[in-house]
Amino acid sequence: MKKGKELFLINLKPDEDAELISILGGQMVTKRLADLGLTPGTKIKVLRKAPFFGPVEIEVRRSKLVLGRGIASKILVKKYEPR
Amino acid sequence: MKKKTMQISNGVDEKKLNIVLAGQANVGKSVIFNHLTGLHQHIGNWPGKTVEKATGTLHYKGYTIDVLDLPGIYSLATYSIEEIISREHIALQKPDFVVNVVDGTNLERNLIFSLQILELGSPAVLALNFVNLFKEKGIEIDYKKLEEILGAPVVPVAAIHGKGISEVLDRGIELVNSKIKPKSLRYGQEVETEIKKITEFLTNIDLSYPKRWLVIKLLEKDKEIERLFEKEHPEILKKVKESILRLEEIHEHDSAIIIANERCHLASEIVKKIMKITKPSKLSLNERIDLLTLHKIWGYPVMLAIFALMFLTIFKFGNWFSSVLGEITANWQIRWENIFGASILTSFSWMAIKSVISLIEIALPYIIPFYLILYLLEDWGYLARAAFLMDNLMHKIGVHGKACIPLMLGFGCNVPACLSCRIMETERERFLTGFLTTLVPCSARTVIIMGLVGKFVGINWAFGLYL
Repeated sequence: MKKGKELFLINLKPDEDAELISILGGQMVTKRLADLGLTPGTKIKVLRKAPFFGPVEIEVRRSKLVLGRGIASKILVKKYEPR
Repeated sequence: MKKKTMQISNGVDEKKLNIVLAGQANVGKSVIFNHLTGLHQHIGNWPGKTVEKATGTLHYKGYTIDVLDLPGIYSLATYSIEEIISREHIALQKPDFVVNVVDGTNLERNLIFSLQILELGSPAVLALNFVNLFKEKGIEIDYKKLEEILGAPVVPVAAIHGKGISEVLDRGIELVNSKIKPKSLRYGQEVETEIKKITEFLTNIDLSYPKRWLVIKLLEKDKEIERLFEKEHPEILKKVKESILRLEEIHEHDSAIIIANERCHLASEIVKKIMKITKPSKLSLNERIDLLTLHKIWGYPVMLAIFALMFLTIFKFGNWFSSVLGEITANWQIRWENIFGASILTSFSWMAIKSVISLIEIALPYIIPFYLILYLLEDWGYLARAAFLMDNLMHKIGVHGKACIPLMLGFGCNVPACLSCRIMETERERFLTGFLTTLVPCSARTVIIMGLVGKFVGINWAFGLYL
């Protein structure tokens, strides 16, 4: 798989893989997400998105995590393009 | 603050230990706490249940052990009040050992937290919980190797079955007696060089926190720790700033992120060495159920169906049980009069008894199944699923999706519902949710609605009140 275009986590579709690039937010948010294992370079896979613009469930570092839309739309990722 | 230490010299009865349960949210700390202390700290299958710290005492092999159950937190940074409290407690009160409860099925994320506890330098035992689920999930962990890497005892635990908990205590007591300090784990080279540099400046300064930890926190730009130095040692802060700048130049990220990244990297390296997942990609039963309950379309009918079924069951069962009770007590008045004779006094006293009986007849059959079903839903984790589905709707009212949990508990009883509003993160959300829960018809109100409206106007009208 090679790396493709940059976009926000919120715009990924379920089952798409990506790599975290950066978090556009304050120090608090960035730190908190880092404590949950979301640091630059981390591989992320979207598992499901709740309907009506609800939260996003992702797989990161072999565990599952649910992120609110607000945060998910501040996380910049690079999508892995399937070959 | 004076440290409570063991007093072995004073004989067997005097041995005292202070231990602390720490770990991320929803890893089973409270279950272990209950097993240890025999107390009944309420547990629930959603993160953030334990908001206040709970304490208890147990006697084990001649030791009197005080146990403190800390709220679940994701790190030892100064993000929330719980984290500060937990950190201060571990660093300053110096418990004899920390039981770090770890969710074995989410090992990598949990290890990030464990590393922070080990950094604090207090003796720690890793209680690797949920080993009972390992087989189903195909997880294999080399406990011995993990122990070697961390330099702290690792005990497999199945808290829900009470397995492994006494071993945790045994290993902890062993640890206390041997006075072995945990190994400090090494980060990447650039970071270590800076840590070393600053540690040298700290040699003549006496602070109650471990030095290496202080340095790491300073590099992470931790405000609380910076304040410790601000007045008396501003020169150290200057040195720290230089180090931070050097690091940020190399890594092109904020220094707090660099350190967090190092920790994540370390955790993932450790997991790679000790964990094997043998049968991946096969969905567990839980995941298959989640496919339905969290489906973007079907999730909602399922949710409606579950709650409709819940109310229907309660109503049907309550109705039936109520009439059974009614039949049983039907001829009690005649018996009462047979025993005590028919006089004004007996008919008066009968009135009193009758009102108690009818209260039981009406209320009990509805309230008991209500609690039972709600308890099951909570225990299976369905309430957390519902929160996921309802998140957006809840945001419309201005609260987080979690608010769903208190609101649904409110159908059972408003009191625990109001209490559970503590899981909300901000004052404003707590207030809003608390206010909303009081508007939810609780089971006692439901009894009246179902019983009276249902009886006199018709059951459809009674259900109509909920729309």
